[in-house]
Amino acid sequence: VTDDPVQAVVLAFLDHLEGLAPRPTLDHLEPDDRARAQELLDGLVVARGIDPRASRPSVESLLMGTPLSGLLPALNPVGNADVTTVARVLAGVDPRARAEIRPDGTVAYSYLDLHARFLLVPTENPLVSEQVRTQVRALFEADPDTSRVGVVAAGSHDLVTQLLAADEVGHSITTPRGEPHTRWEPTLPLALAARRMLEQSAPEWPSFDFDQAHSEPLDLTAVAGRGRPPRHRTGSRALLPGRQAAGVQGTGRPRATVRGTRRARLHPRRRSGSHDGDHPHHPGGSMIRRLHLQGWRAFDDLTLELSDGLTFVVAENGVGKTSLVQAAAWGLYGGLSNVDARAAARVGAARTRVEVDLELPDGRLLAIAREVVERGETLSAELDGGQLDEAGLAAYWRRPSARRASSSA
Amino acid sequence: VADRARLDKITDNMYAQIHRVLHGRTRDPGAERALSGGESAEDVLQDALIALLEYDPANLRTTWEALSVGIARKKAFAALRRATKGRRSGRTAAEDPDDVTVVSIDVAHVDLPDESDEADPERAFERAQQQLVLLRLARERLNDRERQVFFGIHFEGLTRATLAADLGLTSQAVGQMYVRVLRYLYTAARDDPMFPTTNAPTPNAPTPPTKGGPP
Repeated sequence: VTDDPVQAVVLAFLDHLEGLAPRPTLDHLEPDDRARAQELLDGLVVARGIDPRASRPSVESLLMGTPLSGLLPALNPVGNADVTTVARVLAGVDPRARAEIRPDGTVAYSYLDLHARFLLVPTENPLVSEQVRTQVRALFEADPDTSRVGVVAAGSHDLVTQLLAADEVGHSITTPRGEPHTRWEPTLPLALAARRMLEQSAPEWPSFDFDQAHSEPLDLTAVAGRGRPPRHRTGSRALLPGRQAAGVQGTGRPRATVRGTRRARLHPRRRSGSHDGDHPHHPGGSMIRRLHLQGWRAFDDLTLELSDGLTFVVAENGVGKTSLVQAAAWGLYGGLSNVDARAAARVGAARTRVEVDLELPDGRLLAIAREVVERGETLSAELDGGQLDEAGLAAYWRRPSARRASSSA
Repeated sequence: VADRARLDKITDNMYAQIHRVLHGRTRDPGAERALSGGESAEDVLQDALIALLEYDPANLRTTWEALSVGIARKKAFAALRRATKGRRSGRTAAEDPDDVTVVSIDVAHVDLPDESDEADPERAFERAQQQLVLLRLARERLNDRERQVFFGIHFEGLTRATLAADLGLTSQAVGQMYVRVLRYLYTAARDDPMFPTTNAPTPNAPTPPTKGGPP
């Protein structure tokens, strides 16, 4: 029961549609109300059957593979990047992720629980103007499962992309210059942005970037003994006393997934003592060639030989990946690393010692050994047969080439 | 094809027209939105879009928009006919030939009024367009609960009682929420550049008399 005649008519019409009552008449309404009610009822009739949750396939996907697919290039203006290009670039990033053009002119990119949308803006920079922000917000609201929206600058040469999360478009701080300011992801070329997004989500995806069928978990003890790694794939339980499986993989290029890893890579060629300075593999940085830990947290005695390129350390939680990295950091930088070596001492271990062999960009080998002793730490650093003390080493870290060594680490 | 925005608009509209034909008359809103034989609304849309693009402009007697409505509806009815081939509506008289038996997947019909604008495809286009704008605004502006009520009643044909049970409200409250949301969306739509208003009914417009009338 209501005083509003239009509302009453609409409700009566719903009764009619639900089969509860005869169709109401509009005759008793004032002309204005009548027109208004008529519009609402007509709309209700017209809307019936439209699927509010359906998303229309794009014209591109409808015409793909039909005799009319020749029209596709004409659908998008030449010169500026279009959704098809974006979808194609995204599709090339990782074969497991799916890129799909949506009717709203965005490209949906998804893998497992990652759902991203890429929105093209006709600019050279993916600047998030207020209008773009509204669009992005609408995308997040339309599908709450959306984890990221990428704003792609269609006018840029390499499709520079700004990735945004839902909480980054909700509210903003404005700088004195009137520019919105939020802590955003860096802008990156589209493919890199997508890659970065995938890798950020990776920890939750057990199989990400590692094709289990092709990778061979490496037994650390086997590496330590420089024997051949055992050929089991289920993770070596017998790895370390009381510990779980760990694998260490060395790959040729950062981009190369373990799919391409071959056994030979796991065992670097032993470089002979003579370094002639010609090292094309890593012209810019230093490489940790060997890491030797004694009595360091989980590791009783471990030697890792590292090959060229990026090394992935793969292991279940608690095995000691972080310990390994901390050991390397402390080995290189000592107290500067902020690693508490005394706390890292393995209970009951005879000694706590870290040795790092660092191959410098010029090919020379810097051998550093640090040990926790009764009242502090000892350092032994050797370069070209000469000894370096902490100051000598610290001076060395200030050299730009050496600073890169830390990032290599 | 040169005007991408227009093509997308027309395609959206065809999709809506197809959905209306395929599903607009089923009594059971929970009925599966698929045609027997595995055809889907998307397949029909593909057919319709190709037919539209292959249409010889020389033969065009009306607007592309109006043509698209005719094509979409024709294709949708054809798909329905294929899907329901051999099935007869419960209301069909025994002597009626099969070829006029156009029924939806669910044989039962809602006694929806004959839509007077079916004969006017341009008007049909605009009306569907209005609903698509409302749909977009609903997606953008309503909260979850309002959206559920609006989608359920307006598009999916759910009863207020069903929705009320889902939401823990009374049927009356659901009905009132629906009307409130509906009026809000129409108000918002009038400010929307995509909302066609040229054929919106006015008191002077020759609005057809309400079909059905009092019992």
